[in-house]
Amino acid sequence: MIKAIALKKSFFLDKREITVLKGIDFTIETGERIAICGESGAGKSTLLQIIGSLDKPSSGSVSFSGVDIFSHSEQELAKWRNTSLGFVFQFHHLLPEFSALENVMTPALIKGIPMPEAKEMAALLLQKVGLGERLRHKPGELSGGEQQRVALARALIMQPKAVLADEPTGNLDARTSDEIVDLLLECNREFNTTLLLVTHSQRLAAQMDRTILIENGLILEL
Amino acid sequence: MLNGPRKDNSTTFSSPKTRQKSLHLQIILARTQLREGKLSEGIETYFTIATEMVLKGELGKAAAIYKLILKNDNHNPLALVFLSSLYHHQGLGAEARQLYTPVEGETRQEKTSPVDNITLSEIGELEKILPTRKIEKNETIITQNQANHNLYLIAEGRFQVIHQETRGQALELATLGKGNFFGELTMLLPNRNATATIIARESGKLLIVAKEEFRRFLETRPPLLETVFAAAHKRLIEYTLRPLFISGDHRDRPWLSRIAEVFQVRQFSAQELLLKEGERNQNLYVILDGNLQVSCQDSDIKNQIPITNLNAGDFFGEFSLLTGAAASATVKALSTGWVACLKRREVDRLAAHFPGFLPRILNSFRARKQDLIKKKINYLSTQPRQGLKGKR
Repeated sequence: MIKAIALKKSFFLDKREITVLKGIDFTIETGERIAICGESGAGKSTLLQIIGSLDKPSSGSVSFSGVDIFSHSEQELAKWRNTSLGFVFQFHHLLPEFSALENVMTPALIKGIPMPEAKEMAALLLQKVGLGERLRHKPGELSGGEQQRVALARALIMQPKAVLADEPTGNLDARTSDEIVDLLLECNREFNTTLLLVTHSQRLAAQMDRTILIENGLILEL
Repeated sequence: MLNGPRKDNSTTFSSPKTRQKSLHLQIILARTQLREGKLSEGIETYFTIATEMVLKGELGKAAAIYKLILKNDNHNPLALVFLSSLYHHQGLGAEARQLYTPVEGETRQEKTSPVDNITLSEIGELEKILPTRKIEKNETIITQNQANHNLYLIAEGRFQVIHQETRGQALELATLGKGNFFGELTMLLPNRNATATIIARESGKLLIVAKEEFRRFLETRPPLLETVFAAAHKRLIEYTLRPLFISGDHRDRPWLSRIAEVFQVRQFSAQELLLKEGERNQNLYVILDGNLQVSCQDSDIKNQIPITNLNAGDFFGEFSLLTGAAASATVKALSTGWVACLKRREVDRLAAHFPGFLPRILNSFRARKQDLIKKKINYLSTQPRQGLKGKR
């Protein structure tokens, strides 16, 4: 489903080329669970950003279901990003003054889904992540793990085909991060969502199908 | 605007403090928080406003607020994704794409919104009196670590500020456009080489003020002089503090500009005592330019023992700041220069935001303490018995 061919990312400074990704090839099947690991600065976040179309490669291509994403027009690209991808960031901005339900339904409203429908979708998703009884709780009234579950529900409400997560459990203790990982895996099983996680955690990586280890802009093993 | 009575059918909505304030008041609150360096609070207030707008179906206003968030925190991924989605929702995909225009570099780096700005009418006026230079696309105007002799005011075109890090990584620090200027550090520190490379992204036009002309030219224009110096101070602080605060995690970078605003800058002259052993000290000092000497007095032989010399990027005052004790050494200027001071309570505030900040200072403190003991021993061993004899 996701195919990267000879992905290179470099930039020029004073006519000198500095290469971050030096030729990355891989294929990820729909529903596969992948960990992207590597030292800080190895290029793994750059790779995630390119796959997420937040950044463009210097050469090479990324295709989803056989279609080169960077051959899309700008408008199509934005549409594709907003309908196909879900981003889960390390604990990002749940708004303390809004209930879990409001936090989760916001992206759906932004997407143009009418209020009653958005509310229903959000409630359903929160139920799914085990917070059905806490729809009206505000983040401050929830534990760290519960908050991250709300963040996950917020990413899932866009019904993404792939979830791209940069250190999704970076701020959580071992037990809570296991719960979050279980949820990610469950959503992978249930909706066949492709999972791509950038992580430093060996434990987390071990629970994925495969690890893409990046060193010095190249894939070490697959 | 937001404080009207809520409709019954929105029972899921809570109505806490911030949300009850009017839109106008909330924006003022966010701005104040940002101005005080409380970035996360300010951003949160903006998010609160934007979410309120989304829940009310006022998507256009929400888009404007998300833009404000990105202006203050260029890499806020949530605001990026939401704004992109809003644009898409409104059929404005191209604009959304522009938001994502990759910043060249390994990671998406900060684009500090330049503090410096000359109004467009001023530029028009200056264009009549200053020499101009046409610039080709991709032309390098200033090269990092090389001498620069001019202040450049941008009349047309876009210019990229690039900093080559010591590890070989290159960061795009900012993109400058009409009304911005660069080269101002040379005006503040005439002997210092350029701290960044400036490349034209498109063809353009620059107005040039030569170093020799600078004072004379700007002294008749005090507001402009102030703008240029304020920008020079801020950039000098940002440049000097980068290694102290930036952990290599690109998420830290947008903070730097906020940090720079917390510091106060002052000039010192040669032979000036900035810190005196035994006296109380309430500041952490970071040297922006110039050379200073650290020494301490030996109680036995009544001599100043030189401990070490400090240069740009070094800091001092951390001992008394950390321990609350009187200053353990004297710091004297060997040349003229600039120093940035941070008050004690600000240190606490920064330490709360940047977990790496205090350990860094502590490390230096330990190293210097060891250094001090070693130097003292060395010094005493080169002063055979004289002092001790005298004491007897």
